[in-house]
Amino acid sequence: MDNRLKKFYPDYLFEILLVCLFALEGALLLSYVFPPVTGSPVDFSRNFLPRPEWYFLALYQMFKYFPGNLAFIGVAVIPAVILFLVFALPFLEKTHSRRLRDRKFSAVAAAILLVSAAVLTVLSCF
Amino acid sequence: MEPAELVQASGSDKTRRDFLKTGILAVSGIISAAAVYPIIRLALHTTPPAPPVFVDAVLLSDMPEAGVRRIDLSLEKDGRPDARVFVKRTPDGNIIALSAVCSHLGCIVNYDRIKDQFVCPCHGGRYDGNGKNISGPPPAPLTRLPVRIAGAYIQVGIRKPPV
Amino acid sequence: MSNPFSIIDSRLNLSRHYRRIFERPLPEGVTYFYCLGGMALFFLIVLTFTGVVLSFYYIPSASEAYHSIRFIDSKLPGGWLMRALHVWAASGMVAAVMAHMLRVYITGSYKPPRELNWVVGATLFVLTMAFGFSGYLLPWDQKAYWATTVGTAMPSTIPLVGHFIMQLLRGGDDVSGITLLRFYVMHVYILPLVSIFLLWAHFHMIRRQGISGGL
Repeated sequence: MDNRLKKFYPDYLFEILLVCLFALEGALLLSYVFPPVTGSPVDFSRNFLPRPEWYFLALYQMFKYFPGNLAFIGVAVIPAVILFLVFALPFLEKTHSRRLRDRKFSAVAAAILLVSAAVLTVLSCF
Repeated sequence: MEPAELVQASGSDKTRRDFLKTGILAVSGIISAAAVYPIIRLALHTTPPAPPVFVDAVLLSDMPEAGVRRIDLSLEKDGRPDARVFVKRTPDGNIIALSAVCSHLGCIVNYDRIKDQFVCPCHGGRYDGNGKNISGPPPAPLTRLPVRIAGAYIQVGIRKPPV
Repeated sequence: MSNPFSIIDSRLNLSRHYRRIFERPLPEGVTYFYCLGGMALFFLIVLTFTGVVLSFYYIPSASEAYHSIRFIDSKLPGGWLMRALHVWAASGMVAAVMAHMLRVYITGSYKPPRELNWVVGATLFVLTMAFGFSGYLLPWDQKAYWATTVGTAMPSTIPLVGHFIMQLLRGGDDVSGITLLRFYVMHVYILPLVSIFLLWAHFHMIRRQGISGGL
């Protein structure tokens, strides 16, 4: 067997565990420096500006651009279309080539999706 | 059994097998339906809203001729508020109560005394002085709550949470 | 044959089965970017352990939830750390899953014959988000309550079925103790069960099809 080729054990597993160790250190460090804050108990009469977790901020921000009866477009239609495209990705692309340059249309669409999600997330912070 | 013998299996044996295969489908279908039906029924059940409980909101004598009073109502004696309402007198002298819950996504609206408008801090929805939605995302007016006068008090009916 | 493992192995033939995974050569181009999925799994393991510990003390009721969280944070030895790790590992897992998906997209690893594994992975991504959404309500503080009020009201804007979906999520017209219990059951029973099944499918497919290497 070709000795230059990595094996799952020990080569790949060592790399994975190393990454996991850094992940654990990171989570521990963040836990010590920024432990979660428990707010005041639920008060049905007091105003509170709710903010979702960071990974829902883009969705939350997009919702603001669809007032009144159009709200469902931001809530359901756009997320459903994006989810459909993500799920169907392997069946939508015609080429079997794995290189990005052979699937330019898909790559541009993915880049637009990522950039708009990032922009919406940043916008929601203001 | 040799494959040849399998093909040669008698007709009655074949119908018996077919019957058993259909039976397995039917029986597992019945068992699954019997298991899934109550789960779905319970999951789809929604607790119906409780009838309104009238709570003393403000002394009739403390109610101004014009303007809006903001009141936090409590169902329990512990004084922890369960609902925020706005009580006001209409030009024809009636007293109305508006729930502060925004019709958009359920945030608590504030009253802007200068513009005589209710403003939602979450997405900037606006209602006029009578609770009618005039701009921004809210799809409906603020909910009017039942009001009655009991002795010296104006009472407002609010709903108790189910749990 | 004195070693206990070899006694078991000689009867169940375990090592031959696993040697195939452990000693199989990997394709070229497997870099550290191929560790992101493993990182997501690792965060899931951290979340399972901290989550089980938290569930020993957390009480999913409208009157007790907030106080039990306060108890975990202030009185329970090491409780605050378990909760802090649970919160940060949750964020870490979402980030790792997103990064893993991006890596799989860039290397085109979802190309035939691995289409089905992409679909399973995308479902796991949705489940991860659902874990985050359902877990956010559980502390039952102001932030949790109002964020869930807004979050569960959003589907109600969908024509025809929206109000029904909102009631299904809330178990009524308002966010109440019933909602808290529903979210708890989602977070602790339903989502983990479905996720474990899909994760098994995810890894089983990788084992059968092998890792798709670098370009």
